[in-house]
Amino acid sequence: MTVEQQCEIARLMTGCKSSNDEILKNISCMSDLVKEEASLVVNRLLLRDNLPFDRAFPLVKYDFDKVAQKYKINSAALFWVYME
Amino acid sequence: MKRAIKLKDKKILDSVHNSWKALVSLLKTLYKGMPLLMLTFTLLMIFAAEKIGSNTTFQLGMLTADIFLSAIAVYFKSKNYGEAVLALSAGLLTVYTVTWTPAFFISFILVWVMFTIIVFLTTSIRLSSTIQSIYMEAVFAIEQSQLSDKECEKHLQAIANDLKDCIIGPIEKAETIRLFAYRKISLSEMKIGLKWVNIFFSLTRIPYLDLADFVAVVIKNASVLNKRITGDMLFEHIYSGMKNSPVTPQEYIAIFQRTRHLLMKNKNVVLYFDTLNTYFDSGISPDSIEMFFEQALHID
Repeated sequence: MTVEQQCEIARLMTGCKSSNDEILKNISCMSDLVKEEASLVVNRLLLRDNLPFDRAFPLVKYDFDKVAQKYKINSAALFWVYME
Repeated sequence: MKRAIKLKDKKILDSVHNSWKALVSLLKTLYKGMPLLMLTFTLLMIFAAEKIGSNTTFQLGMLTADIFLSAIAVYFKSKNYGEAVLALSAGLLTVYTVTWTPAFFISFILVWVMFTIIVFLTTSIRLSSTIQSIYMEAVFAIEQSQLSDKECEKHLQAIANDLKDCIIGPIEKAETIRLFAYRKISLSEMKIGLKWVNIFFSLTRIPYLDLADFVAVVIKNASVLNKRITGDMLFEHIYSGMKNSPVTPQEYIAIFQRTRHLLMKNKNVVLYFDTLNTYFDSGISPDSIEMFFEQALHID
């Protein structure tokens, strides 16, 4: 999968409007600590929702956005980091 | 309780016995390893004592140096100039008014040396037994350890001894480890905790037990720690935030102590410390601190 495709998926899943460059720049600026903890928090929220995909999808967008705001990061970048 | 007291008394007796055994074995080893050197050294000491004993100028010089060193020791212990200068004056006055004969001089030096040796020996035994009893309390506080009490105590001592270039002393290290044991920090995490208490103490001079409490709360609530994210990475991040915040380390720890319950509730240690750093820059009133932290840390 190319970087552009990965960025596109991250944008689709989170509803983020950032460009590829912005997402990649955000990922490279993020510290390992933030990556790890934000991913853990997202994981906790997703596990708590525990819903079928069609019902979980809007919540996923909301959860990523919420966590990204708290950690002052881009939600698409957070999705990328979480999937890694 | 009775078991602990009995064990403590036994430890003190053990310490005296062990110190004596160590001294005897050291002398034996030295004599076995270098018999000629030991004999030469003893003969030299006797010769020097005889020479000094028969020379009044040497005697006075030695006694003056002795009084001077004692006064310095008094000053460092009491931090009181008056007390030290009084000890110095009284000592010098006595030394210069007495007519020193070899017998007088030898008995003075002998008593002085014996007193010093006994004091040092007693101090080291007391120190060792205090440290051992602190470790014993730590062992009792550690729950469900698979090690026996003796092994556990040895393990704790090894954690303390592994710490290189440390500013905190052996009693401080033992007390820090005991606090970690009370806070139920695992043995594997104690090493990194002790290392960071030492670093924070050398950089901030905040009382070491406050720092130990701070480090223990962080370790206990850091869900982010794993094989990839080490304690060092986390504490470096925290220290960098502390260094860049516009407050003193004491104020930083004070605000931490007011809001630590929120860290314990959320367990998002990175977010908590980033919020703490934001708070110092925000100019928000200390009265609204709880609300500010609640809003920043609440995610669900």
